[in-house]
Amino acid sequence: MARVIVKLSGTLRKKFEHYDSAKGLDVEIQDGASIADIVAHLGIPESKIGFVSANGCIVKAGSVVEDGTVIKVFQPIFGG
Amino acid sequence: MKLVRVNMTDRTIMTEDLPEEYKGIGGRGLTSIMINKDVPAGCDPLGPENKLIFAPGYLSGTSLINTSRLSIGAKSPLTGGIKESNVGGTVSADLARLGITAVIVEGKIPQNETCILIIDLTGQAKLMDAAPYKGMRTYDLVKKLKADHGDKHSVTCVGPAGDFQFATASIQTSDLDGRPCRAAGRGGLGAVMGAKGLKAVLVARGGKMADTLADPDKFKTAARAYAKAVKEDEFSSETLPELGTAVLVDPINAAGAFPCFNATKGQFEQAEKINGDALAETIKKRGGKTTHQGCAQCIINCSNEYVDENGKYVTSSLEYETIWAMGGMIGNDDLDVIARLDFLCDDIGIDTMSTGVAVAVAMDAGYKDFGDGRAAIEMVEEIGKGTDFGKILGSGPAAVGKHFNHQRVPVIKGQSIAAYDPRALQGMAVTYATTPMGGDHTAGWVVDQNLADFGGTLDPLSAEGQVEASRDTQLHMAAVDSMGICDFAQTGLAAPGGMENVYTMVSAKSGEPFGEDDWGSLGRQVLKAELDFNKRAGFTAKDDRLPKMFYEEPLPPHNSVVVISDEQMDSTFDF
Ligand code: SF4
Repeated sequence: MARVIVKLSGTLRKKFEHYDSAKGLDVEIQDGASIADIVAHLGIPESKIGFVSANGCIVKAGSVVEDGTVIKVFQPIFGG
Repeated sequence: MKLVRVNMTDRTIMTEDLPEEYKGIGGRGLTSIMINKDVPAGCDPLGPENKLIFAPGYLSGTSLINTSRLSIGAKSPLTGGIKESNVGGTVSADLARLGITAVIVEGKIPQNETCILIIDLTGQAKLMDAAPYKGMRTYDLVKKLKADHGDKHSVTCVGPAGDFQFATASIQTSDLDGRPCRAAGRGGLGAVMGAKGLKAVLVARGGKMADTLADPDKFKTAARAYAKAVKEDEFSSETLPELGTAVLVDPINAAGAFPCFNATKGQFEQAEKINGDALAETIKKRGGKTTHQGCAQCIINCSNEYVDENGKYVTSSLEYETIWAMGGMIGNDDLDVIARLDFLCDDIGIDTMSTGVAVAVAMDAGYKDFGDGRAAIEMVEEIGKGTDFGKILGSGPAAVGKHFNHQRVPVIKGQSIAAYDPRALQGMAVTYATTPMGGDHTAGWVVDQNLADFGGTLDPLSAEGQVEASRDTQLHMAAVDSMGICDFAQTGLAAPGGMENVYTMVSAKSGEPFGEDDWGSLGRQVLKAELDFNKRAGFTAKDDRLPKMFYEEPLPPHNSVVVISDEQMDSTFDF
């Protein structure tokens, strides 16, 4: 099993009671799991995701996560 | 549908019916087309030939939500090209409810005189001598105007920076609480207003003479559907009210596109101290306000009211771009300093972005240390006092670079970039370089397309697809800015059927058919007018380039440079 920290940006965290923004979520997932697997495991629909970073780099849905990675999930943004 | 023409030279005012050629156009479309037609492109921006035009968006004054955006246009003293800067608050709705399509300020008052323009509930406009108001900062000014003329007006005004005619002076306008905290910041339009001798425009609130709608029922149905879509969108209904536009700090920083320390780094290590969560927590803990309505008819409420440790008011509508300019860009992680600088800029009437970048360039040149908040505050105070150094700072980052003989100056056509580094978001390189507005983010914000679908739409570090994305967005925004729709209510446009709702409303107002092709040709018409003006003002393809730093200095953490070629830049507007 791989253990990763998942941090949620914006209002995504609202879905998780007692979410601590300093610590994030401690998630255990089977080896070889991808970013898409992790967000599915957390029940976050892909439509609510803009992009995801792993250890500070933007990653695609299919990227495989390694043990100890810090993952940040960002909502789609609008602006200008 | 009328134009109020104010001649400052002889202090005359004429009200005219809107000429046929401008029917169906508002906001940026109107200011840009009119300036291109009536302002000599080679004129002195601070001289009598320039015109300063205030135009509510085409849908301002209607029942549609989030449509109180006022476009202000002129030839810019900062870029030397055409400029449109739009601003919220209440004034756009106020003017539109008096049936005023535009206020055109022409000529120039004799030296040392100052006037205010007052438009009453009947739509009558008059100029009044305003010598006692000259030089006043905006917060005191609105207080005094309120005492002298009552509080049933919106106030759109300049501070000392505008009176001094500094090239980055803003035009400030009042929010729903009557505070002059909303800024048409870019392009130095405050200097144009100051040069004309116009200190403030007071517009009566609550007019009942808005343009009649050709088909009110059809309009109402489409407006309701639009509002429903905005309410249903999570970003506009939850994220923005809770965290404000500061919510952008984290994703842009994570993307390595948050320019800091004068754009020598793309990630700010202390970002968590100034991000949306930090801002909201600080405000809540101290009893300030998040979820604050800044503009008339807004249902999103992205604004806020920032207070100090004792709960005392500091500033309102502290936004992402300012948090960047007065935060990461100058290496400052203290929210209190950022809020103070935001207030000072609003009070002095100067663009927060250009000023933050000007301070950053001075710090980079060794004048003061990055992160020295006290020094930054002192520097901005100098602008308000009009000292010799304040004059240089108020003239913008390029003037500061020249003063210190410092080469790293992130400006395009004389105007600074915004809070997105083009080396980490290549599409923004195209927008900054090619928009007729000079370094400007709202003209073609392609950040979402670069940071969407799990990074699957566009690769932010690659040139592929960026020119097309920027072109399409710039055309689209030229039309959006003509409607008076707030950028953050664009979630309503992006929703299924959202564009059709807007076409329906335009058509239900004008009584003429309006569809996708008309939207496209509106955007093209506006951009063509702007490009034409700039060409006649002397701009060439060479001006559609970024400064060398973006091509030659790799930006950590991606260590990328701008990879859009000159040919690609030049293909952006090939129509
Ligand atoms: S979302 Fe913000 S900027 Fe837009 S209208 Fe509302 S308060 Fe004004």
